[in-house]
Amino acid sequence: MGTRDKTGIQSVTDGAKPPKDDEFELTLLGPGYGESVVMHIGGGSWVLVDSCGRADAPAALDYLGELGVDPAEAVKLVVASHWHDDHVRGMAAMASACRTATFCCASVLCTEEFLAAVHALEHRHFAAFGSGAREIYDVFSKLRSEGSLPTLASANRRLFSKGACHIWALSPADDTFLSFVRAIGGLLPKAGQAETRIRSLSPNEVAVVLWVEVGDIMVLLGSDLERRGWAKILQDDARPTGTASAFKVPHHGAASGDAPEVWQRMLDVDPASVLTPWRRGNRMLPTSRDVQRILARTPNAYATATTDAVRPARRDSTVERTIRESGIRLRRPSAPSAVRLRRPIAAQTQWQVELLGTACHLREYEQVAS
Amino acid sequence: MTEIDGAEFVAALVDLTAGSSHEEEEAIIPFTEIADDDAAALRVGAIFRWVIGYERSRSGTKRRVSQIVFRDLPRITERDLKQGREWARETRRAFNL
Repeated sequence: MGTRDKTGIQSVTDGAKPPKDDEFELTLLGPGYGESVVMHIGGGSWVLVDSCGRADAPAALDYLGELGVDPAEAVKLVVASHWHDDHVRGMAAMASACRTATFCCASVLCTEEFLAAVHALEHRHFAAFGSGAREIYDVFSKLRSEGSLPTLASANRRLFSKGACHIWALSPADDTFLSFVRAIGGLLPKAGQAETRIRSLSPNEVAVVLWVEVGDIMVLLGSDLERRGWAKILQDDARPTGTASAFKVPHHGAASGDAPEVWQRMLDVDPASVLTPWRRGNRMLPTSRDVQRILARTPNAYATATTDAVRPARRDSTVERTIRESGIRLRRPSAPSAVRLRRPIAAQTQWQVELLGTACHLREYEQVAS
Repeated sequence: MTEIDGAEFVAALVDLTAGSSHEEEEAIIPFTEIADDDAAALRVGAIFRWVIGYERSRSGTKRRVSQIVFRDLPRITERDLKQGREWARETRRAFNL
């Protein structure tokens, strides 16, 4: 194991120590692009939310493997919080490996319009590689072939209960249903159109935000929900009461997912907050301003990576020279890293925070990003 | 192609030469690298092939080339759409919806 720095945060180089039976764990995995949440809810039972890493070897399964956990028996619930590539890459492999788990996704993903679009674009698997829509298509096909039913998430629905653990969906709200169906209509391919990859919808109002209670521990997982979605959650008196001591910051820390009232009304003072960075082309989240805003709300904020600017793969020197001369810039996301929070379920103690791989305190992320 | 950003576009790459089956790298590519004929194909979701190698002319001259060619993917047919709607209805029935 690693060393403890001045802030009391333990950095670890060996993350392969499983939690105790009576310990809650929330681990946020982020390989620089995408994210996945792994939770130990006590008694050797696990819950997985979203998937990232390689489509054929999801980071969450690798992580459980390192801990010596068999996902086939130990994982009880798998949640796809939404269908964007960076949250469901490897979801089909994950759902297959977690044989006894219930699969859960937003109810809107089972609308006829969405399913028809996904089938039309993905059933032929024309390309050698996948997409978020294909992951959903593969998961639904598997469920159908097994005769399994998904659990469908919508606001204030209890999705899961086992012992002291209860998990609710806080979103999507019912009234986002129609706007989603309208928007998905625009993505439906037309006859004669060349096959393409399905685009993401923005803003994201149908992401599944989760409220997790295990004994006295409360955790809020913000998915990628954006501001309008949070406004609906805040207005809703039917949601579970209490304040969370740990928070998965929504939408990679972006301002578009920030709602100040969430910090005031749904979270403890200075909650342990975790996020994954995101990057596409020249755009990067969180921005320096995002980092400052989050740190102003809690000093206990962590990111799964300092930066995802990792060198591209090494190739034949002639190929590398040609790429350089072409003006094309290549970038490879960093290897999976994680922020791990653990706490005894029965005791009122602080979170033990462990930083695995390139994970860092958000203060360090700011130094790198600015 | 995942994004168009001014005079460049962003793409997720699968290194087929390395035997990869998933996207491992991202490329930021100037539009100047694209043939004029392909300009019409420039939209998010489009798929292309990028080949880097040597080209020999008839005279035997060898030169390095980097060529991006947008794939001419199959067209979606009315039948595909009908099958999609059927699959959607069957899936909803299977899920008791």
